[in-house]
Amino acid sequence: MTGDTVPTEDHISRYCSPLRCTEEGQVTGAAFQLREIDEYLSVNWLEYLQKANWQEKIQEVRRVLNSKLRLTANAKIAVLNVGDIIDHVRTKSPDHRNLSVLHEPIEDDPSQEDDLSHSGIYGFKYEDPMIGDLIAEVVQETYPAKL
Amino acid sequence: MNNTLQNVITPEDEKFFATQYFSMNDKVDDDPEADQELQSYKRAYIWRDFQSGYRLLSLKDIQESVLTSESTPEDIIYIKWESPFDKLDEYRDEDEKALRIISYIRDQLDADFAQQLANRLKFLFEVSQEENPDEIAIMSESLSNFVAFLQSESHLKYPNVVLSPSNNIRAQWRTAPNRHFAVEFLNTGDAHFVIFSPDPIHSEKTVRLSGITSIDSLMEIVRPYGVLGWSSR
Repeated sequence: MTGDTVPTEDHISRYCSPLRCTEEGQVTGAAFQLREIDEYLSVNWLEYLQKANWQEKIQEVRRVLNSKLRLTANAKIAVLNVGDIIDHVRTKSPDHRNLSVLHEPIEDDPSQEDDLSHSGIYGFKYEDPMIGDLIAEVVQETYPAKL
Repeated sequence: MNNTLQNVITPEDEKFFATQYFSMNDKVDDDPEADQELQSYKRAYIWRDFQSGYRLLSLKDIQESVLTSESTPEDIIYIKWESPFDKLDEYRDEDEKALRIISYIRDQLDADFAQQLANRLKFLFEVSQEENPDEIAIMSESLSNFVAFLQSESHLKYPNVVLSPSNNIRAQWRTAPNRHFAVEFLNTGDAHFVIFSPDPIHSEKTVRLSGITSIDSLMEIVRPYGVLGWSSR
């Protein structure tokens, strides 16, 4: 439900364009930065997806991303643990920033396909590039966004 | 322009848009010349909105913009005209500037990584165009500021270069979690920077700071944190 807190033991995924990855394919903090107009960072809540295993969850995320974005070669889906994000940013940021991850399902919006696991990382802004760099440090795994 | 309008907008279109937004029967009393101008502007605005779907200005706005003693019809239309084609031209201009800067890097930048950097930027440009064909691929002022920075700081190593979500250049020199220096070059001549570096006294600890400064002052500000230790040759 909208506004529900995503549990710290759960995982989220983030689409990472090749524009935000190094030449070696490593995801950088730019993948977790906001634009000036953004209120939160868009992610997908993986445990929310009713799929049998991890591969199927990632495949479902691919399907939804593909309906919204032009996926290019070398784009990645980064997987992160919610608790790791919150703890790492709180302990490493100079102002001990408290982030929160909230469920923001997209449903019945005529302009886009339903995205029921859609969620947002709240608590930082465009002017906080360090937060993106810290989040990038706790990426657990990456998968190709386009097969 | 009026010819164009008359060719494209049928009387029925004009009537439809006029009833949607304002009355074409509005007149400037006692001044036939001004009234003629007003009617031509109405058609111009209708055409603009017909093309672009923009909100029509109110009649009051039009009257205020038209009926000044110094204005000529051409001037005002030029100022107010905002067709989507203008936006496309702006994007194309920006993209051409970025490509020219990339060529400059390839041909003239005095750095041993000039070719590699030009290839990287060309890749970013092409992917950005592919992902978002309706947006500026790379902000040319950001790219220009980045090149000027590299020229003035010629001791720096080849950085990892990515694009920020605003399509600005973001350069990163990172060799370890506590040796991280990232800079986003803004169009304004300022830079957002992030540093993770070893504490000068307690080396097991990490200094983390970020900020915004002019690009001209950037190295002076970050130098005390030892970033040259891992970012320069």
